[in-house]
Amino acid sequence: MLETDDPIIEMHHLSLVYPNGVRALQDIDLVVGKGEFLFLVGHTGSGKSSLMKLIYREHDPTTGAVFVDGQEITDMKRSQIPLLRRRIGVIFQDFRLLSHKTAFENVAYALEVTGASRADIPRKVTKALTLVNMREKAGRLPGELSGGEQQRVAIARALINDPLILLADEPTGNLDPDSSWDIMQILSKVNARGTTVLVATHNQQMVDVMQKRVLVMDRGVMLHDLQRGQYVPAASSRPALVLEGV
Amino acid sequence: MSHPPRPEKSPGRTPEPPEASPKTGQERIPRRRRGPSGGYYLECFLREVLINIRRNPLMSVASISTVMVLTLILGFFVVLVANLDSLSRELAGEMQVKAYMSADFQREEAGAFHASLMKIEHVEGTHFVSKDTAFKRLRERLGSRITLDDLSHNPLPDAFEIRVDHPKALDVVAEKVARLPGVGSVDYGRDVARKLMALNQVVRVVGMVILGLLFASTLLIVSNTIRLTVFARRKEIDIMQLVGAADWFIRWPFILEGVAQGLVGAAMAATVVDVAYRLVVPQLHKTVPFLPILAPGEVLPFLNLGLVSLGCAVGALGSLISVNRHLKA
Repeated sequence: MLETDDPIIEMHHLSLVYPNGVRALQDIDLVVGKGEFLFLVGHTGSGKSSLMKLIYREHDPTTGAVFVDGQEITDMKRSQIPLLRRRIGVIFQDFRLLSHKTAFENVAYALEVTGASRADIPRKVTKALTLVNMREKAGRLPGELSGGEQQRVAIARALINDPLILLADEPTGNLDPDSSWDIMQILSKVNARGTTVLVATHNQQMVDVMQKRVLVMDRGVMLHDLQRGQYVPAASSRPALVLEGV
Repeated sequence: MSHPPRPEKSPGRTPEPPEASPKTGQERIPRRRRGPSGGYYLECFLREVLINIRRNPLMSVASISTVMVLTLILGFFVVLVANLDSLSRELAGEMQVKAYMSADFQREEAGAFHASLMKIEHVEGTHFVSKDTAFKRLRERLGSRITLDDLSHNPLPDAFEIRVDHPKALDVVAEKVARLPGVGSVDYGRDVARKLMALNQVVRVVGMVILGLLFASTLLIVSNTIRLTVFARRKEIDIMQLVGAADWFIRWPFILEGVAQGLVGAAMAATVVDVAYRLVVPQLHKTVPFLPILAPGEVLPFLNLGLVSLGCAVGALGSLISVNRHLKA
């Protein structure tokens, strides 16, 4: 299952200390194979988001190195970062769509900023919106869409540049169970097309049903790395399961 | 957030594991690098600029008016300095000493006097200007504006215009000429020119200091205005960075916005200076006819161009400062 001979993400002895002294990550070693689907579980503040931010170079690690598709990104020049990000799609709990642009325009925007050929934009955007079943609502503004629909638009935007990796930081955190399953279906579909998908989540049921590789984090440390794993609550005094919608 | 009815789904659906494991071999569309034209980018950017100005008209007004004040003051200042410059150059350019003869000087002595002048070192030549010729010249210069017909006699003295070989010799030659018998007084433009140059220097230094302060404050105001725009659009900028927009792509709309504000402010100032100068010059010519004032055509085209360029530059620089501050943060 684990295609470590063809890794897409590699982290070696990675640690991250924020300027305020908070130790977000400690000595993380991780290898993710091309085309894998992984869950990243752990409490709020366990370092899931920080880990993801290192992959798309939102943060620089304090020590250690990160490789994406064989290229070390930690010593990458600032001008190279946009090129890296075009190969990584990211979605968030709060969707991060531009409220004054329609679904179509939001997705097209990600193409426009990369200087894509203008003639290709409508075709590519329609293709991405079709993939997430949002073609009919392409002309709606985010405010006119449900949470699940907004997240689907965000996924379409994340996929528009054909990324190697899709990072999903609590993608269902703001969604009802039905919509959450919709999003999971779509992420599976994306994964089936060959994109590596990394999902940070609190949703125990989802993790248990999906039977994918599970990385368990607690206070910046990687506790477990389970193939076809279940949601393992971290040995911590805090509640293991954060209920959705709470 | 509203959740519209979604009939295709049963409400209590049991979760099923979504479709199977990943396939290897990615379906990847090769990225074509058919670069879009500059016009395409420009259109994108201009659209953003217009949206911003419409969203934040008051901030634009603040920027525009500060740029206008800066360029307006600069405009008037440049006009003043240019005229002082040309005046002092004109005066300094007359490399000659004028010897005004005393009233008892007889025209027959002119030849002998010329000979004694030529013996002085640095003197290249002399030219005798009789009191009549001088009177005629004055009449020509004043034209019809002031009439000299009421004078009962010609008050001007006979004079010698003495050319010297070097401006630095003016002092020495003037001094020697003054000591010659029959000379009433000696005058050379250099003296006036020197005073004028000194005045010009003061005006320049004071003006530069004022302009420097104005420039700094304009830059500050423009960059703060743009900073507010940047702040209002930080979510958008974050998303742009997230989806892989290059820094220059993020920067351009803001820079264009700054340039647009600078351009409008400077154009208004240039118009004011232009109109004012064209109105004032004929009036000054009437009041002080012998003052060599630069014609509007000699100053204004360069000045207008300069002011507008400066306005654009201030706008661009102000924007660049605030956007860079945000991008580097």
